[in-house]
Amino acid sequence: MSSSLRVEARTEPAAIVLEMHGDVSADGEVEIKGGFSDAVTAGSTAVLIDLSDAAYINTSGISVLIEVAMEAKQLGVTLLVSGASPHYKKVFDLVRFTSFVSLFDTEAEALASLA
Amino acid sequence: MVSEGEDHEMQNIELKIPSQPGFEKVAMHTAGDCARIMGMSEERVQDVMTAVSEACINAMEHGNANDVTTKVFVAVKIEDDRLVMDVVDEGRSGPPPHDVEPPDLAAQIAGTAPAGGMGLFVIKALVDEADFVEPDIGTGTQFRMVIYVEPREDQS
Repeated sequence: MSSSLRVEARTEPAAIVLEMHGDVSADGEVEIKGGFSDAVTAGSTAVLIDLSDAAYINTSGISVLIEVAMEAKQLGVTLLVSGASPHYKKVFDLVRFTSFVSLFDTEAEALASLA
Repeated sequence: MVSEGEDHEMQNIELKIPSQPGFEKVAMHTAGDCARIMGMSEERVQDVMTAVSEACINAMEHGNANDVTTKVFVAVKIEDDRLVMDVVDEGRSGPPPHDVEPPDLAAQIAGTAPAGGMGLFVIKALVDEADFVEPDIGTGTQFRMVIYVEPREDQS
């Protein structure tokens, strides 16, 4: 089954924004890691993963995000996450993902935190 | 649509989905629709959907050892005040875990532990009851989740 995730990158002054459109699951691993890798290659020191249009997130997808967080930490890149629904914010809290990645309600709030 | 005391057998829904990532969403949406029919709050509907999705993924990855020729059986039973959901694999793995530890994300972020191990922990936090039960459907491992329409008094 092909991935139902599309990752769109957008350059903002403070960070490269990776918009997640579709399902954040293990099937989207190549798209998520590829998007992050391309952002780092482009010289970005901050990457914002926006989940506003993520219809479905499972723990396999969270594992992929954790692996990206690990890589970001090793590279000295600031990783932020925005736009998660209240339900997925609850799941992120449950697995303590929010202890390691800064979570914001909106992209604007996340980008403002980098100013 | 759901009348009190109505024959529960008439309100059972059974699915058999392929052990391939993505098909868990079929069971997830079915269970979510049942929760909505029962009048659960949208927050609880989302809890049901995530719990069923994670249980199906566990059945595919562990119980069916990622064998795409296997199936995952899902039974959703609408009862008076609760939804009972069974997820059954084909028993390709060993016995299910007895204890569920919170995932050690610090170790995962540090790279000293593999990423993953969150599904069962999340399920147990989202529903009122969740455990492996003696199988009465098939011969594989059977995982049962129960969620009440209204949160029980002993739960926050």
